Amino acid sequence: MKKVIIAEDFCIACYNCEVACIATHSKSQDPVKAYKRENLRSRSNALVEVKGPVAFSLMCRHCKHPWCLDACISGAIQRLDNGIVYLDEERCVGCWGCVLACPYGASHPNLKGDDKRAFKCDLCINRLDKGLNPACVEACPNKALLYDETLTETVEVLSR
Amino acid sequence: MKKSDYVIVGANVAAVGTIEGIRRHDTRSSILTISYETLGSYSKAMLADYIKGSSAGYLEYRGKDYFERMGVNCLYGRRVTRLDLDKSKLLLEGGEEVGYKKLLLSVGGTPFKPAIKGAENKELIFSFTEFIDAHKIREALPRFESVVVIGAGFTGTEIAYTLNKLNKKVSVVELGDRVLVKALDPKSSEIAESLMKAEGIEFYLNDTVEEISGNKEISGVKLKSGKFIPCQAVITAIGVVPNGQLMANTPLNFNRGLEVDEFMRTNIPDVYGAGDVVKAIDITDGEKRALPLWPLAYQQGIVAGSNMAGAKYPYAGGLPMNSLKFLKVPILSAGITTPPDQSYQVLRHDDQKGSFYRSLILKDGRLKGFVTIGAIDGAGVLTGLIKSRIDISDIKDSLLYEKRIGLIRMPREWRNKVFTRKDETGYHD
Repeated sequence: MKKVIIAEDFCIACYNCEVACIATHSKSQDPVKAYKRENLRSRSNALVEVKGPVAFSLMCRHCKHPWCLDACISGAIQRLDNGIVYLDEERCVGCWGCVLACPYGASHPNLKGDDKRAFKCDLCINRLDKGLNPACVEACPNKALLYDETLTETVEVLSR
Repeated sequence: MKKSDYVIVGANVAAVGTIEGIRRHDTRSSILTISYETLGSYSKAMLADYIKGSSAGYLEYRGKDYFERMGVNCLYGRRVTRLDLDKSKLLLEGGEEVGYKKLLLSVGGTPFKPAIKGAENKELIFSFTEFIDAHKIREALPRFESVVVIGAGFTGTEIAYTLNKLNKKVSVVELGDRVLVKALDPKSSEIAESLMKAEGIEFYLNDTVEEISGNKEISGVKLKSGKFIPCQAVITAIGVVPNGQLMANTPLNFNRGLEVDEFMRTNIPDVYGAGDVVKAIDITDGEKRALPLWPLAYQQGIVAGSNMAGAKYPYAGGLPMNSLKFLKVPILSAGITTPPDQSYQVLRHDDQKGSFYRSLILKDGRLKGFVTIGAIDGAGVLTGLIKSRIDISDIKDSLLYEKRIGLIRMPREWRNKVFTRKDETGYHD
């Protein structure tokens, strides 16, 4: 299946992916309103990690056999027919089993207030339905995120 | 005689994993699940929500129509009384027989009930492991104001916390010297205890209930220390042990747990096991033991089901993992949290405020276990590091002090495999 490929050598730590992720998962669809009124600042499914010259944006790998799904006690996490590992926040009970199980740290706990639910990348399922690429990929100015078939060799990505 | 290609005894998470494992490889053959419980496949990990008032349907984590969707027939409210392994059949209560080609035993665990003086003939004494227990507790809620919980493990503290939230006066009696001894290290036990004390739960550690006083109605419990706690109800939550009832008087190897090999096969052909009933590999030390944990039961089910349907996947082993989901400050742990001997290195970070605590247990530079309190985002990276057994000597400080644990500290080659290569996670097909 097609997933978001991360090419870390190309990441310039601009955080556009985070802004785009937050905006596309907001009610307003507007980054400023999403940050200021909807209080979604810490709710990006893609997270940029930076250390010295190294940077990349990481989001759910949509595993074929997801560890997070094994740990989900409420049925909130499902693997859809198209391969997307989907977390239905409505059904999440905030047990943090997925947070503890994901070896990539890609399922995040929302610890604020009483709305304790986990959240993670849904591969922009709504955008894919419209034939669009995931928002983070679209927003990446340097092709550090690509929406493509998973590849066996790193070289193939880096030589693009 | 009723017949089915696959017969599954039990309908909970290990059974669900098994069904999903079978259906990956075999969409045609018949599957029958048999359970003495009347509710289908429900989330035992969410029973506290039921006590707090959620509907029973809320616990059905795969949806009401799950078994139908998966093409599985069900016999609920029916107890299997005997296994006839020579003739590949089961006997049900009432005399009915069911034949199988492949059998899965996922009969779970039974709560360990201590023999306590005065426990006979008392009304409000409960366990807390399955739906019927939760239902009984919920029905009895108007009948008690104060309750003693015996056992301060995961189940005990969860039910204590739940009842405290329902305005009951809750006291917890624990034989050991600290709470959650299996899941936490001494310092984090202390933090967890103080979090619960702050809610008004009382703890009696290094103590045990010697007698339950009263006639039909409980008046209180007498402790070994001589103390007396007045209460109207008692909940025992000392732990579960693999349920060996069906294995008695059969040639199945059962020794404090059903013995299975790496393909989840028992010593009898075509009979498999998965879930809380089996002893399977614990990754931390490679020993086989019963680890009654949700994700492991599901994974064992996937492996058992796949192998029953003709695949050949070994079980990679499981890791003890705990999430104290009910506390105000989240606490996660995995692997070895209290080192068994001097060969382990313990690293600790404590902000002294109870809002960020972390301990890492290392051996020969490899991560063997951890506890993290307050800061939990990315905790799974640590879980993954325990499994991958890579040397973390160079990055241990950042793993200890950084609130959010990311992949940036990992070796670049390791990371790039994750970022780009074909999916090689878990039990792929």
